[in-house]
Amino acid sequence: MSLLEITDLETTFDTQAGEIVATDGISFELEEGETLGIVGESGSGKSVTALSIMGLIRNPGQVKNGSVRFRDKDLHSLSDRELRKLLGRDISMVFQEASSALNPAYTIGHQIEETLEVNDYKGDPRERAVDLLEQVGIPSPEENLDKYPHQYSGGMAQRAMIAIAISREPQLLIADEPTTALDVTIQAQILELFNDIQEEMNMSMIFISHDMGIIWEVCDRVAVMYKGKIVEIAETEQIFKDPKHPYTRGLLQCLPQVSEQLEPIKGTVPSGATLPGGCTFHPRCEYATDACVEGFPESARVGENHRASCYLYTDHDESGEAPSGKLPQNQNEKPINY
Amino acid sequence: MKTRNTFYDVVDKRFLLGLYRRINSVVKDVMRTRKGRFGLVTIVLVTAIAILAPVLAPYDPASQNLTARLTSPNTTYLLGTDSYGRDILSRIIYGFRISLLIGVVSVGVGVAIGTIMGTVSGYYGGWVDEIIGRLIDIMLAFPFLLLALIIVAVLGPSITNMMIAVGISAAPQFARLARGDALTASEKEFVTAADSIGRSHFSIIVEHIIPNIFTSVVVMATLYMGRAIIISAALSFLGLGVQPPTPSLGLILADGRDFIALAPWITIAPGLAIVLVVLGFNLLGDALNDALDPELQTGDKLQ
Repeated sequence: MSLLEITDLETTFDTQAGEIVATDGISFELEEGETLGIVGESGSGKSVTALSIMGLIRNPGQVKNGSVRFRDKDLHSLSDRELRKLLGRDISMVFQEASSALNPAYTIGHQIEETLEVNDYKGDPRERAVDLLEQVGIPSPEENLDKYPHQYSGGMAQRAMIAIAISREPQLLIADEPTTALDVTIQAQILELFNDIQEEMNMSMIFISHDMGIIWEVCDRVAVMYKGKIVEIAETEQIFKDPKHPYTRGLLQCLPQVSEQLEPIKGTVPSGATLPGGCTFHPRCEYATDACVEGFPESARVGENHRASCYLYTDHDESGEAPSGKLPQNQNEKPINY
Repeated sequence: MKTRNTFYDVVDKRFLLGLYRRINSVVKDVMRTRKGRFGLVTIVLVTAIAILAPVLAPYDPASQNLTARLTSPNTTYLLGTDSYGRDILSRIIYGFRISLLIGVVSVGVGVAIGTIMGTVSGYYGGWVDEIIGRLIDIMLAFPFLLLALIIVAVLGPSITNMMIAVGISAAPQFARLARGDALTASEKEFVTAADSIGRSHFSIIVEHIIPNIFTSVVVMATLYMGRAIIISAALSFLGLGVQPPTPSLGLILADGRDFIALAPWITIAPGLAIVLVVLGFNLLGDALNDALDPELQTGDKLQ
C-alpha cells in the first residue's frame, strides 16, 4: 500500500469574484521513500495542494471533495485534535520563506524545542536541537541555538526550518518551494541537504517547485500541474526525455541552456475567476483544436507509469502501447494565434 | 505530557533572560533620543514621587488649616493652600499617586479586554470577526469621554467605577489595534508553520500571535496612560470620579475653579502637574514606538 493516496482532491476558495477552484480533482499516490515533484507556474495550485493534504486550508478556503489517505487513516475524517497530533510528527512541512515561517519573537532553539515538546518528545529537547542543527549543517550549533531568526542568513534560516521539520523524523515531508528564495549556490547546498536527509531517514517527500532543474535534482517522479489539475505525471527521467503534454514541453523549454534561445510559454496563467472553458491550457497551447475548447481531456496512459491529460493522446488510451502522439515535430506546422 | 500551553510554562528561565535583555536594549534605545530621555525620566520621577508620597509630602493632604486659607505660595506652603487651608504641594504629591493608579488600572482593563477581543477576532476571522468587529465599531462610534461618562453614570460615581469605565472606553481602541495586528500576524507563514507542527489554536494565539502584537499594544498603552489620566481628571472635575477628600489632580483643579481669579495657584499647579505626566507618557510612548520598531532594530547578522 502506498504511504499517501490522494483521490479527487478539490479545494475551493470563496471570494468576492465567486468561487475559485484551486485544486480540481487531483489524484496521485506516493510510495514510501519516494520523492514526488509537483511543478507548475504560480497559481497552478501547488501550495494549496500541500496545505489541503495537511488539512490546513483556512477560511475562506475549504476542501470540498476527495480524500487524503495517509497509511490507513483518512486525514480529512480525523478530528482537529487527532490531525494535529499527526502533524509535525508523521507529516511535516518546509516553507518557502524561512524568514517569515520562523517566528521573529523566539530563538531558533526555542522553536525547535517547541516542535519537540508539542509532539511529546521524551529525551532532552535541547540536546536533540543541537544534534538537529548539526545534522542540517549549521556551524557551532550550541551557540546558534540561542540566536533569533533575524540573525540568521537566508540559507541558515532555511536549514533551521528543515531541522524543525525533520525533528520528529516524519514519514512524509512536504517542501513548498524551499529553495526559491535562495541564491543559486545556497540552493544547490539545500537540495543536497534534502537528498542526504531523505536517504538517511528514508522518508517520502513531496517537493513543490516551479523550476524543472530543481525537480531533476531531487525527484523520482513528477506531477505537472496547471490550473488545479495534474496534466501529466511520470517518472522524472521520462518527463525530461519524452514530455507529452504541451505544457510540460513549454516548461522544459523555459529551462535556461547555454547558447540556446529560451522559448517562453505564450500568455499568462488565467486567474481563477476567469478560467477558460474546456482544457484550461488551450488559449496558450500551440496544438489546440476545437475539441480542446469544448471539454477537458481525461487522463490517458501514454507510456509506462506515464499519464497525460491532452487530446493529442486520448485516442491511444489504455492500449498499452506508448503512442507517438500527434505532436507535430515541426513546431511551425500548426500555430494557433489567440 | 508537557505542553507549553500555560503561562507558567511560557515564562521559563530563558524567556525571562531574553526579556531582561530585550528591556535593557529598549531602555538604551529610548534613552538615546531627547524625547525618550525626557519621557522616561519624567515618568520614573513621577512614579517615585507617587510611591514615596508619605515621605515627601510636607503635610497631610487632607488636613485643613483654616487659619491659612487661600495662602499664596510661600516658604511654609511652597505651592500655597486651597480654600480649606490644605497644602497644594502635598495634595499634588498624593494626586500623582491616584492619577498613576487610575492610569495603570484603567489602561490595564482596556488592554486586557481589547487585546483578547481583537486577537480572537483577527485570528479566527469569519463570523467571529463579524460579531466582534461590529461591537468594536459601535463602541468606537461614541467619543471616549462620552462613553466613559455613560458607564460611570450607570455604575455610579466612585474611583473603582471610573477606572472600569475608562478601561472599557479604551478597550475598543486596543481591540481595533490588536485585531489588525493579529490579522496580519495570523497570515504570516510562521502561523501556518505552527499549524503544520500541530499546535492548538490556543497556543498559537498565546505564543505566536500575542508576542507579535505586543509591541504595538505596549506603545499604545503608554500613550493611553496619558489619555486615561486626562479623562479621569475630567471625570473627577465633573464630580463623577474620585470623591473628596481623596486628592486627585482633577479634583484639586475643580476645587480651585471658584477661586481662579483670587487664588490662581490652586489651579495652575495641578494643571501643570497633569500636563507634565501626560507629556511624559506621550513622549515615552513615542520613543518606545521608535525603539520597538523591529525594522529599526540593530542586530548582528551571521554569515
